[in-house]
Amino acid sequence: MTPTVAEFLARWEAAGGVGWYVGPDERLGDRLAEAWQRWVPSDEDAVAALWLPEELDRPERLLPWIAAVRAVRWEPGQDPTAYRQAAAAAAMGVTGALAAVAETGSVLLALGPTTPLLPSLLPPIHVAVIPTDRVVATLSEAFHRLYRAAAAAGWPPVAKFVTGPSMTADIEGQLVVGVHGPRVAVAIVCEEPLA
Amino acid sequence: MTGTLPQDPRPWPTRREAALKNATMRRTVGEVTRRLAEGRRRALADYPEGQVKLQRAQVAKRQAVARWQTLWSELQAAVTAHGGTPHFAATAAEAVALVRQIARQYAVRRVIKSKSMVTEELELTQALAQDGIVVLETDLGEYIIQLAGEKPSHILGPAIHRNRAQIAELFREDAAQHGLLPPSSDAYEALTEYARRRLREEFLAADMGITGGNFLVAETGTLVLITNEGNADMTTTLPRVLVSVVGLEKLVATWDDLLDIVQQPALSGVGRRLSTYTTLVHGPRGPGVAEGPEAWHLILLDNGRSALHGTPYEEVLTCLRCAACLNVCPVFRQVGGHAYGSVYSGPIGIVETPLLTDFRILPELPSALCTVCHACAEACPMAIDLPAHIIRLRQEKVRRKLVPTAHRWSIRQWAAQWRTPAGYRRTIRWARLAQRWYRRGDRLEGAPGMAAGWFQSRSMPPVASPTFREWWAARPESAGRALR
Ligand code: SF4
Repeated sequence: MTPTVAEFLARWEAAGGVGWYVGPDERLGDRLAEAWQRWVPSDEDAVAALWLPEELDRPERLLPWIAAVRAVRWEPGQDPTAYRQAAAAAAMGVTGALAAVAETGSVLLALGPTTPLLPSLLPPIHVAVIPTDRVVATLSEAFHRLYRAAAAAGWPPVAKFVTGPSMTADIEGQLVVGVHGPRVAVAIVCEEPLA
Repeated sequence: MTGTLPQDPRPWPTRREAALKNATMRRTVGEVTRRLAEGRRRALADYPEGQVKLQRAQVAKRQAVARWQTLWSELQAAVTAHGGTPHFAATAAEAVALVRQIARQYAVRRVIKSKSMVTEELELTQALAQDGIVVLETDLGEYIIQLAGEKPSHILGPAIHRNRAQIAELFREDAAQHGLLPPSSDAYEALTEYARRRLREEFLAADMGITGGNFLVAETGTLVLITNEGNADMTTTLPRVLVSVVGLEKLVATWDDLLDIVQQPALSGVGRRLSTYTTLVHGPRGPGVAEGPEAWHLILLDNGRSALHGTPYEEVLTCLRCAACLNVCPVFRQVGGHAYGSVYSGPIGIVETPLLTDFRILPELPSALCTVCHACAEACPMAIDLPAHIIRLRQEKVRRKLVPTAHRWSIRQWAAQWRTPAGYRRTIRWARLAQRWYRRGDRLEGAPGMAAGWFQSRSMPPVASPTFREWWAARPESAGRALR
């Protein structure tokens, strides 16, 4: 694990999130299964709202988890209202990310036709999966990445830096996690398999 | 043009007494402000990069405020290019009319709002309610005070004046009214869970979302929203229409400027390097996208702001609404936000309320709610010289005769007497004559007229006989020469 990845995971946890690292000889699907088992109540209908970058979205990387859940995916052309309801009913949302920032412990997400934000917002648990090469040291680098992506493909209607789980201190100043957004925010930094 | 702000109709002494008697509010405000101030101190100490960025941000923000008109033209072009619709509102009334018109145009029935000080300024919720539109605040604190029919008492924690039991009571009534399961207990988590459950349905049912904004980037047409709960993300992605009302002072020129300034509200406000959600809105959704509004209307609001352009007060517009000045202010810690009677409280509220409204409301603020201790000036990330502005506003009040006549006359008499040593000695002799009516034992416990107020919570030693000066002059060595 590089120092940048380590710093990102430490800062993400300091912000109240859960940070995991999946090495080259490990399987992402095992960690997703672990998250599922830990935080999804067992009586829950097994629905996950899901999208991942192409290189990670393969059965051999997502097993055994992917076999045990029903995954709701957004396909352009689908009815947005139905998708929204499905995402709101999901027990867990799994997404990729444009970047992760070590300096602040943040994950950058950008809305696009294949990258909806709702899975990161509506379910009570959000798991962001970040390939190692997308972890950058500073906020500036992530900003510049977004700027370059926008110069090439136009600005996303909405983009956001997420730093930990949704939280509030509005009642007597006491910190409570999980107001409108997810209560559990997991970031998994995922090494590319060597082969 | 002069702006308008809503105001608490109660006079200052009533507001002050109400605040001082509210023990819950005073305890919570005291604790929360201290914790936030401490968080800020720690976050800044271990993040030197933040300081470097901040220095650049101060310069960039001052330049942006000075040339807001040019930046607004640029922003309009960028927002239009992304498919959004920019509008300009010179007054609060114009902004309200615009929002109502947009709501009519899209046949809106249900509105969700994320927290915004500007919409408090406009009293937008009340205006939309007149058109039969249901408006719900979605920030937990704002939702609580909406149920209670109150105004925010702190920029970041609008409901910190209410305790848990009072909030549970509000939620139970709300649940009964809407046929929902009430919160399972008075625990913080149970109350928060109720708000999540209650507002989740509203998020999914709303046709229009209303937000404010922390920054507007002219170069890229970006609206930046900084929140912790996730409600702004719901507001910007779920309803089919999005309206953002933003003060013109929120403009920054470039993406690089944004980079320097975007962390500052979190660093100075809550002591984090970034808040949970930093949301960047660029426009309505494109084809094939699952979420995001179909239409985005951006309203830039003046409401008295541009009148500060070119005055010594211009830098006041660089305020980030981080609340650092509130959190360190000894007066705010005692009386909380409601005592100010304005949407904007604390040191920045003292300065902005009379400035935006040209002293039409709450002219007592600069005089009554500041001890000129300078804690706010040290805390302000934008280096706004708040105490200097407060003193300047006091002087302005005297020039404009906004100070009671008896008050002005007394101070003028006092100044006239003390202009010469003889005058000074004369007043001391008068005081010695008069003090026998106010002497209790060896302390002076009162005074006539305006000076009586000083003794409400204090006493002082009486004027001595002889005074030091008299004793000095009477010594043989002095040969009758008085002290000058
Ligand atoms: S005046 Fe300064 S300290 Fe006060 S809210 Fe504004 S930026 Fe923060």
